[in-house]
Amino acid sequence: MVTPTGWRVTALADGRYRVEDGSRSFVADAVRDGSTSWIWIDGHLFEIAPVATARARAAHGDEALMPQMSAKVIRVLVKAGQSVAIGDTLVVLEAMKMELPIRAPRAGVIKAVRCAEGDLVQPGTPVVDM
Amino acid sequence: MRRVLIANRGEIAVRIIRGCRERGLETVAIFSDADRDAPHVLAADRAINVGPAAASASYLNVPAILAAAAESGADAIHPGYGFLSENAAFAEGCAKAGLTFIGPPASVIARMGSKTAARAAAVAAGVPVVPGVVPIDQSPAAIADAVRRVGFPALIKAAAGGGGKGMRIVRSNDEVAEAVESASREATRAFADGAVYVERLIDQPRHIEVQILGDQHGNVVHLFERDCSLQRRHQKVIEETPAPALAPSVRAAITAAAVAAAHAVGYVNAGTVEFILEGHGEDARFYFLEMNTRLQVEHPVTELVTGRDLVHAQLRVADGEPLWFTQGDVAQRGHAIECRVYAEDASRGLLPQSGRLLRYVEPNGPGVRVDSGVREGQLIGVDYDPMLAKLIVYAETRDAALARMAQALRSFAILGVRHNIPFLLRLLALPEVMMRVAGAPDLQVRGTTALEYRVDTGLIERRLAELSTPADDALLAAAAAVGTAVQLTSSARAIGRADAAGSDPWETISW
Repeated sequence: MVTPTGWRVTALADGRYRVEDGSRSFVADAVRDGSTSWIWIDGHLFEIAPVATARARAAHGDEALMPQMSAKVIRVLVKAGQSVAIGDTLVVLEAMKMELPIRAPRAGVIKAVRCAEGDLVQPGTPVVDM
Repeated sequence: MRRVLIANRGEIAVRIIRGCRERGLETVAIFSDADRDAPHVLAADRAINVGPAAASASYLNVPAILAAAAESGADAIHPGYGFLSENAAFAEGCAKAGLTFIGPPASVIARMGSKTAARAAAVAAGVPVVPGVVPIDQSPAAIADAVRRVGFPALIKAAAGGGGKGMRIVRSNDEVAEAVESASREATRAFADGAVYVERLIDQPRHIEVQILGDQHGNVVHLFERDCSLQRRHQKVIEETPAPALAPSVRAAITAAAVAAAHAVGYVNAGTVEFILEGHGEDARFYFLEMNTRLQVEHPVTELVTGRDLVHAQLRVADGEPLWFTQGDVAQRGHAIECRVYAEDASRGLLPQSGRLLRYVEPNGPGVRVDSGVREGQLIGVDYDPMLAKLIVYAETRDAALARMAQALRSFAILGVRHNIPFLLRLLALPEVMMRVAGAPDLQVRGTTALEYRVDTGLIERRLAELSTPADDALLAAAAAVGTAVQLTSSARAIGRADAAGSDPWETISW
């Protein structure tokens, strides 16, 4: 298979692919996970996902603060209606035995707190709306 | 000793099980509900469930672990590192249950486990310590006052701490209150002890530690040093031995200090005395940091360079055997480097990641060792430390070891969860780490010269932005091409044609 960018891909055994463009040649490790592809080429890791998923994620907007990983809420330091300054700690999460503070990215007013101490929160789920 | 229960999980449990089997000892693994088919469970002769996924209910559950030991007929317990390895009450509980605890006596663990008592012991042994204050009054106000007395920048540390938990750097007066509260809270949760102390922060230090080994007959030897200066958030990332550009006189002094500290506390079994090193060459000064009363994560580099198996040594010493070699028999030969491979996302502040290991293929070859506790298909969750494996290489010289490490990292295929191998490769390529000087012989041969080795414990933080950003990547298009091929092939056999030439329907993210 030759792609528009000029890279030729040949399937090898065990989920490996030879990828070459005439001057360079690599063996890539690749697996498919639904519509996502994971690819390892010479020390570089690529996660290739359909654009729609990425846009949906981005479309949550920058007003909602979300954890970047599964974590437990150990402290909630703000209430709805409260004004906060940039850098204020709003919520403290814990994951992997580490404290991960969620801080205000800018000055503003807390619209809603969507978690309570002890909750398990997931990436992509808003915990605080500003 | 006949049957050893390994009170741990992951790579260290697997490594200890191997060592036990090599010594003709039977092995008992323990596991949580999340680890039913984990590699350490499959490696052991027996395996016993000790509770739910949460570590507090399983790998930290002393009654369940002691019950597992009784049920399995174990006569010894190896605690590994982390979890209960430095818990004096656990060591005591083992002793009371008639089990050999493979580590130092509970009294030594208790003394060294309190950083304040350890510090006092070091001072008594004539080992230099960092200037600092131990607040007797542990009220937030008194601690804040101690911080101001020590001066900025100051370091607040958990008295019972380790692994960077309960540690906060305070650079100005208005950071004091939150740092004190936060350090104390994290210490309470991690170690069930909120006591903290305050030290002056040494600017741009190196982290040098010395491996020691003591028997039950009063003999202590050291197995030289490890340089663990490449850290992030006080967690080690890359470790090596010998420490590059360490002046021979400083090496002699620091190893002697470690042995003195070990003698002073009656140390038995394998342990590590940690120091920070300030300055360069013959003028470098070292200060006692803490003593770790356990096998360290980074012990393999010492094993490769000294040719001594530390797990075997732990087992023999715990069984009462006197040391079978003397200090004069221990030498450093060649160079070893370890990289810790973590499931974490370098582009997002090195956040721990979870996911399934869709592909996991370890590198191998001459001088390449992988200590791992995961396998392909395993789900990497959030319950435990995100370390997937340790990649350790050995070669004749540091330059050769660095090259071997880079090559091994590039051939370590891990797919399905974001990990730090690309980050490690960028880190190894930093000029400060490489220290490649045209025409210069190897660092070790060069010893102490006019060239300053400029790695310190703050290097990663200072370079985090560049280490976290993938290089302007010429391989993006190659990856996109492979991605299209992967999506078009259901079994990796036939390759279809990319349709809609010119319109790329995929978003490619590189790490």
